[in-house]
Amino acid sequence: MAKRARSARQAPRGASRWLRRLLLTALLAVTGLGVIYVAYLDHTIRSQFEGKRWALPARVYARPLELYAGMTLSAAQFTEELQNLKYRAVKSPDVPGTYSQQGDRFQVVTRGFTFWDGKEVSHALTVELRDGHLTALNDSAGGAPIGLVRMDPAQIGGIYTTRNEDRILVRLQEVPPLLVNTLLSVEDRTFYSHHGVSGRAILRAMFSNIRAGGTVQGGSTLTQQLVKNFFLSNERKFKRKINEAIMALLLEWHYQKAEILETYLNEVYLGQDGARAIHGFGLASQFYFQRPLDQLQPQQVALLVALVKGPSYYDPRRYPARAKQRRDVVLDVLAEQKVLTPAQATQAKAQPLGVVPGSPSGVTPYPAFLDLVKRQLRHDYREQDLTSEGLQIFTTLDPLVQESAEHALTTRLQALEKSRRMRRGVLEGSVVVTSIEGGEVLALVGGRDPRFTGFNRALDAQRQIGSLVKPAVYLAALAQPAHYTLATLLDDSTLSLKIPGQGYWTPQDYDRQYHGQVLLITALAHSYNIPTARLGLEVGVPKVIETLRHLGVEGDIPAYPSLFLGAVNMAPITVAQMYQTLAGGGFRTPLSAIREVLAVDGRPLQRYPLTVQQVAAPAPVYLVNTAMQQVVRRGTAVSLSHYLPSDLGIAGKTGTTEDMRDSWFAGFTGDKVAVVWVGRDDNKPAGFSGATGALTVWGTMMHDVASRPLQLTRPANVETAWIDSFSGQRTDSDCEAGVQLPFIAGSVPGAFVSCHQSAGTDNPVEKTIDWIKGILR
Amino acid sequence: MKRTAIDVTGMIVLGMALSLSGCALTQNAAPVEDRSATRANAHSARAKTQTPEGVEVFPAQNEPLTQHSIEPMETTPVPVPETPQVAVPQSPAVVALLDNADRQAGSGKLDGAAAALERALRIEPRNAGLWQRLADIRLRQKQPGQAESLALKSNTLAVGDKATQAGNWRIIAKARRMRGDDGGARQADSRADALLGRDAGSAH
Repeated sequence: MAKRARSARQAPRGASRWLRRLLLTALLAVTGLGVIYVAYLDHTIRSQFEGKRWALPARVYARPLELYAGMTLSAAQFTEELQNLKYRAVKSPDVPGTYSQQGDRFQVVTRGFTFWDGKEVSHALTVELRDGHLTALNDSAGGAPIGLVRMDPAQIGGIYTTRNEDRILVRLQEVPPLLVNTLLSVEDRTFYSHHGVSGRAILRAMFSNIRAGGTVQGGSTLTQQLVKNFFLSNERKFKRKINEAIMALLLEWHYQKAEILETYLNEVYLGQDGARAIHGFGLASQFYFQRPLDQLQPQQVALLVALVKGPSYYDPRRYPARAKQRRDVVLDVLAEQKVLTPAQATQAKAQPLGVVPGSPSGVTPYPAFLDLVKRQLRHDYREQDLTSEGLQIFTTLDPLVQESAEHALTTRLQALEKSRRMRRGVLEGSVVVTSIEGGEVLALVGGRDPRFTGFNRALDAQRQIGSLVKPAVYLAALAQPAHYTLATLLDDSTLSLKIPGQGYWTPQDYDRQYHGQVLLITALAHSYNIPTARLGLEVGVPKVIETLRHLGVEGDIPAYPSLFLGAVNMAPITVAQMYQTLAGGGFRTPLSAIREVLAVDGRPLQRYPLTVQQVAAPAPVYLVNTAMQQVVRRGTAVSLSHYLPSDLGIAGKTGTTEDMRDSWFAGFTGDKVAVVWVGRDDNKPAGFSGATGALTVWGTMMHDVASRPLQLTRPANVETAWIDSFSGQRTDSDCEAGVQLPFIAGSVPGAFVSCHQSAGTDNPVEKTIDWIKGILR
Repeated sequence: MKRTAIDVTGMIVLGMALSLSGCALTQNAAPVEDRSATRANAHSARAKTQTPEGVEVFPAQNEPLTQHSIEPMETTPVPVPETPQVAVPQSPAVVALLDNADRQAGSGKLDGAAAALERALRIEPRNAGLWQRLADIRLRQKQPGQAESLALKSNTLAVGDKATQAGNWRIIAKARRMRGDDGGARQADSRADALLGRDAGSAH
């Protein structure tokens, strides 16, 4: 440098010296910029590589099916479960994930699975199912009875990045050597010797392609392809190629071949499932063949490698002929490279594609439930962790219940539309099913098209609940046993209220009739509006709101007397929470869709434990639930007997709003709460009452769902008395008009009427009743 | 577990017929003597009344009062279980899970024990003993609030089973003591004593 400067001084020609300086500066600047650019590319590619390498969506699982003798499970349900789990029906089950069925008898080899609380090993089982019950659960080998077996859980979806990339991570050592050999033979033969780009590869690819008369090989190395996969951009080709080449060199500089190969195997784009992009061989193997990578046949491996070249062009489901041709070319290459013997290649070429038909459409078959899971998770996790940390989410979804709920809603809405000659698709609906004691959401349907990801009516449709609110009104009253009992007489005659600033409020009954003096239990069973309004007015709006809050209703509750008849908006899930607390005997358990969260390595991260809180005294809740059983036995929901046997003892409530805009039914068996809403999205009258609309969905659904009968446990401080159903006073047990009712201790009416004092047995009404009784006996 | 015909004493034979014909009955019935005035009826809202909200309530003047005083009520009894319910015998599945819970609790894995008990509760949700065991685990996990709630829940399912109830009141007493509520703890203990037929305040 110094020398040069001196020589420049020796030949002092000003312009030339300036030019040289300028050039030098420019050269330095360009080099500097080049270095900066490469450093930028380096940073970009490394962060992509590091970030993507282990970017795993959260996996979401349904509840595992627990098998034990005595459980309710039909052969059809068990078959459905096995099919959900992709167990293969075979002659003699020997490997995990296979089964056989002979009538009521199943042979099953379960898959082992690592749960939150440890590993459940694979079992070879004999399962006998008779009359809807599991009658025997034995070890296949020794025949010894087994107490309890937990099946592996079905995966019901994932939580993806905004790019909807899905993958199942595979480790290099788990990948069958045949796959690696096939991949390298076809895509990059010099992978282990080049430094990211390969001139030889480009030349050989050209030669090969000319010889084959078409594109057989690409000239890009695996490293270049990997870089290309990171940035699926639309930049001009030349600039992109240069960038790819630089970044490929940089990747090779920073990382081992094994790391690059492993990342490639997990990153390469291999298909599209609706909005979900299928990345990596692990997921592609499941997506196309529904089996893990290490169980693939040579022709299946060849097909996956064939797809690298163009997953949509060679889509084996849409273009099977094209895909087979490409697969066979790959098999030829394998024979040529001596990866397979010619005989093996010929045999493989003779095989069909073997792709499973009809892959699940969309990201999850249960978008509404997954929506609930995500909302619950967002309380505890960052979005980034959900989409990249590979969390395993164990949910409460029971696919068998979900299936029944979806089927009932879809078929009943169609039937309802047909019965009223409505345009198809006008009616909408949603369903929530929960367990009573655990508060677990077992099924959630967000609309009549259960696969549609969008407006989730079960969570977001805030609709008037109508008479579904009444149990809260009656509970508020019955919590004061000194004032109200099931035998309290309520007045059902015209009522008009002047509400300050609101004008007059004149509630009417659905049947526009007035029923005179009615027992409180009758008013609830038949959902009479006026007695309920009077009762609510006596108890007071604040007490009713307080009761609703205790039952678990959050959100806005308008403080007007119209609340007593249901002028309050709730989403079906909120109604489910409210009825869950009633079904739980006054113990509220917050509804939950998740049981446990595990890290990618199976380490437990979080449990959502069962919690209860007593929010209402058991005795008044018992009285309300008894009245709600009467709703089903003889009240507004009596038509439920068309769907379900009466010995289930179901408690429930119908709800209908003004002009029949909303049709509701909420109810519970011995172990499940279910809520159904039917209406129109535009809030126009739909034309169905709770009983003619939602109830029919509820009944159809629960007919298919295994349920225990409801046996209310009578609290110790509840006693019974015979009550004259006309006067609400005590009477003899053998009176025609006598009815046995439960009372909170100390609240049994004091006065006594004898049979003949009761509203005349001479009167025509009673005569008619006797006559009907005579017929039915 | 089974859809067995349980002894629900008041299966309504008439229910459906009555309510289906209810309309017709009340509509076509000859006028019936209105006895409401002569009855002790604390809740008749015939006269203008003042409600807590300051809303005026009065009968509408212009509409005729239709008097269908008699609303037929079914005459078969509402089901009321007469025999106290005692703890249900446990199935082999639940026994296996209880063993599992005991093992885990024994080695200090309380979360695991709770998880096993929750699994058991999914199988037998109304088993008072299981709720009690879970309450006990929560107590050992220093969660007195949940321990008390779970013990109360167990009590509602253990009607007639004094031993289980007494056990629950003991758990409640410990939970209250843990929270520093000594008075409440003594009350709970004396309820346990009473259930066991001991004098309140005796040593235990």
